[in-house]
Amino acid sequence: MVSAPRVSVRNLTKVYRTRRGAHVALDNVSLDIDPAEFVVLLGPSGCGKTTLLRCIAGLEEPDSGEILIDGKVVFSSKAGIYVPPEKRHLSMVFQSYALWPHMSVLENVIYPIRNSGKPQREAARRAQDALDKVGLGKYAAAYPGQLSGGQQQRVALARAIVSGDGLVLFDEPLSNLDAKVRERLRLELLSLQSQIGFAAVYVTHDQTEALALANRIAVMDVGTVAQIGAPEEIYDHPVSRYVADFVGSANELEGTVVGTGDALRVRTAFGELKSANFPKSIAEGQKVSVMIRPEHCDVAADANIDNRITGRLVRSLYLGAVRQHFLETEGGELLITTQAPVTANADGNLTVTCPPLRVHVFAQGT
Amino acid sequence: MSVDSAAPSQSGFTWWSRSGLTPFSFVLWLTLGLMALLIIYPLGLAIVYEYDNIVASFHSLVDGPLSRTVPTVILNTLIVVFGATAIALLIGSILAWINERSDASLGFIGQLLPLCALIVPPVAGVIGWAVLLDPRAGLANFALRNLLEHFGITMRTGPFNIYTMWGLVIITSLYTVPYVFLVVSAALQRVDPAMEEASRTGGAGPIKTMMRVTLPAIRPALAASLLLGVISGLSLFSVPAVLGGGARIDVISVYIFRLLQSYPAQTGPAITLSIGLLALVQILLVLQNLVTRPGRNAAISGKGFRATPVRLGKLRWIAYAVAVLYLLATAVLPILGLLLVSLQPFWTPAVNFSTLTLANFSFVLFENRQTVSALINSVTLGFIVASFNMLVTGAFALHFARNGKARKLADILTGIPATIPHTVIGVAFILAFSREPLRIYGTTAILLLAYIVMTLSYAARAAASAAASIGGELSEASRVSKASDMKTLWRISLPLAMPGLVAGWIMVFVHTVGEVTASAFLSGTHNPVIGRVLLDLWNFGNFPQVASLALVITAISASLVGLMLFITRRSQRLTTS
Repeated sequence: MVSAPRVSVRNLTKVYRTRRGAHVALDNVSLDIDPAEFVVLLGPSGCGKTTLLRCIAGLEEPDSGEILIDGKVVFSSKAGIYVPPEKRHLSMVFQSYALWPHMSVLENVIYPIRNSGKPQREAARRAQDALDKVGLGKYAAAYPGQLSGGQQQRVALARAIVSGDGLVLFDEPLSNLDAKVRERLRLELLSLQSQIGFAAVYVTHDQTEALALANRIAVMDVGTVAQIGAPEEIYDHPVSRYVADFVGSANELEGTVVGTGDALRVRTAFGELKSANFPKSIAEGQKVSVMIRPEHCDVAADANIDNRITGRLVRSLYLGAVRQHFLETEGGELLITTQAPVTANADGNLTVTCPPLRVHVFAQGT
Repeated sequence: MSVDSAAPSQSGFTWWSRSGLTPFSFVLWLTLGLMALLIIYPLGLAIVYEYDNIVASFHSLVDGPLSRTVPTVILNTLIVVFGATAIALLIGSILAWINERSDASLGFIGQLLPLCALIVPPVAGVIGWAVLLDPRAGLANFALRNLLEHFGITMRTGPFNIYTMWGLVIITSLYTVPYVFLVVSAALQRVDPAMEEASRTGGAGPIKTMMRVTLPAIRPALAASLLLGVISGLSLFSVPAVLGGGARIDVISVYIFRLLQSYPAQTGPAITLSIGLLALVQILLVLQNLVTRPGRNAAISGKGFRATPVRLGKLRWIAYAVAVLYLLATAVLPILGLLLVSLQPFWTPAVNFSTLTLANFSFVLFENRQTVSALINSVTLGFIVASFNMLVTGAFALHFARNGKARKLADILTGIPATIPHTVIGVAFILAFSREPLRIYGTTAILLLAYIVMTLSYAARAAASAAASIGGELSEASRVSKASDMKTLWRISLPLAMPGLVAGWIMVFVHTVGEVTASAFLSGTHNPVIGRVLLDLWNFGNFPQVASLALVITAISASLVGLMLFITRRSQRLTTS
């Protein structure tokens, strides 16, 4: 049996009218989030991801569409329903932590439970429990101003899980923290989620974070969902150049299809490339965009492999975990990454190959 | 995404807040509208009632009996106002530069400087200086004469005389310095010190850097403080009212007052001159807007900086001396003067320490019906006015914290009173409220209304900055934590804004208690307030009582300002530690 979605967003549209005209923040967006699912809304600033999150929270009012939480309509433009945030049974973690500086850590965490009418003693017990879960049990009496950024965000996390709502919204919660703390909190967040089992909607512009956290990623592009799917799907099978470009780094070039079949043959500045990763609708003679990820290029060993590209090795950068190499070819620059160091031949040239499955082809303009 | 979250000015929390008004916001708008009416209505009414007199007064001002005195009055006003502003601009800018840019950072004194005019109400300060530098009985003059006698120089009067144009100009300038200091300090904080450092590394010395880089960068601020100084100088009533009589120098505000006090009252010329004064201020404000138009000061960025301080070396002691001298002049010396006079049975420059007595204090505090009821009235009015104004403006600022349009409209409404000289408010209130339908002249009600109008701008500014210091996410976090709109206001926004609101309350209270201008116009024997009673006692020559009463209000103001400093410092520590 398939369980009902925890959150249903249907045909949501939100337009900001400013003095300089209208800005469409959400354009007919639909999205379902299952219970205990971790969905990441990923996109550059201005793509509408925060607006979508705030609409679900009830902090913004969409212009049209419907939002259901646990099957209950919390917003419907047709029916004229708007349920304020305090009645939506959800929690939210903010980028700025948003802890109230005039309340102690414990008071901050008690606040949501007290507001839902629980007696003080039970509220205090549950708040202490939530603080223990995030490892801050002994800071209950401290004030937010006395804690580090990472600790403050842990308190905010405790405040979000304390009332046991089935839905927690995250608005770039880790982007104010430094790299080490961020990675640590990412892990803790995941283990909390699997332990408690809430559905999470998580907004970020950081693709690494999205890939690490998500069950499903929704890549957003100016008010629409460009693609939604599991991280592997988004990464390995992007449906458009935009998605491919935003998730991971990419070499991009233009080409013309010269042969179809199981594999596509595309004429590009790098020569003729074979692709086994393309939409069905591509036809012969069509102008297309071609995308190759730097880590999918191998330094050629076997002369018989397809998609050979040769270029002069201009520069190699050692980045610790990987090495980056810049090749100057007749058709332009190519960026590749390898684990091992590479050496050019006597002419200073290097030949790399890319398997057809790793050569992405998109219709132009996507 | 920050672009998105900043943009939604019209998005509300609920259906009704977007499509219409809640009962709460309706009451807020109504109250604010009535307060705005309170500014426009009396002035309009006064002009309508007095229309014939105004027309007739043109004749008397141009070639009638007034045509001989008015030009002198205007000339005096211009000399006092521009002279005082020029001196204040110099002192205020130097102090601001020392505090912001040199290694002689003034620390606590730097915090006190802009508050001087609050700690010592100008009327107390000027009376203090008058008892120090009266040519015959001035305490400081007497001490100086004694000193000079040792060198064989004998004088009967002097060496200084406060009742002169110089006295007027310098004392007025003392109370204009804080305006300049605040505006210039704020500007210096926003000028990127990297610009100055670039100049220094480019081979220019500190002086050349100041002249070529710093000063041009803060030119708009200098112009703004110049105009602010002129406007406040035009409205300052206490200094010319206390010193002008002895000096026989009339400035416009006191002149208008006397036109109304003469018998029969010359209402026509009074209101005509008031309108002229108002028009002058409005023209100056337009000029100020032109000068400080955004885009002209592209060098100033919004970031906060801490500059590498300019090393003053031995000059540092001069810098400290300037600051300490200023504090002595505005606060310490006048208070000392007042103290010595208030403890004597009568004002004599030769202080006989065996006859010092607290009798004057007990007289003004407990026995003299006029001063006792003035104290009670002023404190009560200050309490009501401060509470009312902070309640309305605070509720407004917090309720509409996320509504840019409402805030802008409220800013315009509440900003109007700051552009109207208090003299004009006084005249308009007298003329509008001395007849039906609102015949409240001579009552405490007219003072209440006048004070509410006059302090509205202070209150609104304090409330706005208190509300602005609370991040939007703090109240949003409360909403998603299952708290309603009202509960969020009560549990989150209000406690967080409280230190700022209390500071605003104290500002309004202190301004109300120390107010002299409108008090002189609107208060009388039936509704005495401190400002009026101080002037009366001064004019009747009850100097020890004047000094005691002035000290009493100084003590009230100083302790409240101290409380304000304590509260704001503590709340800063709470949020930033």
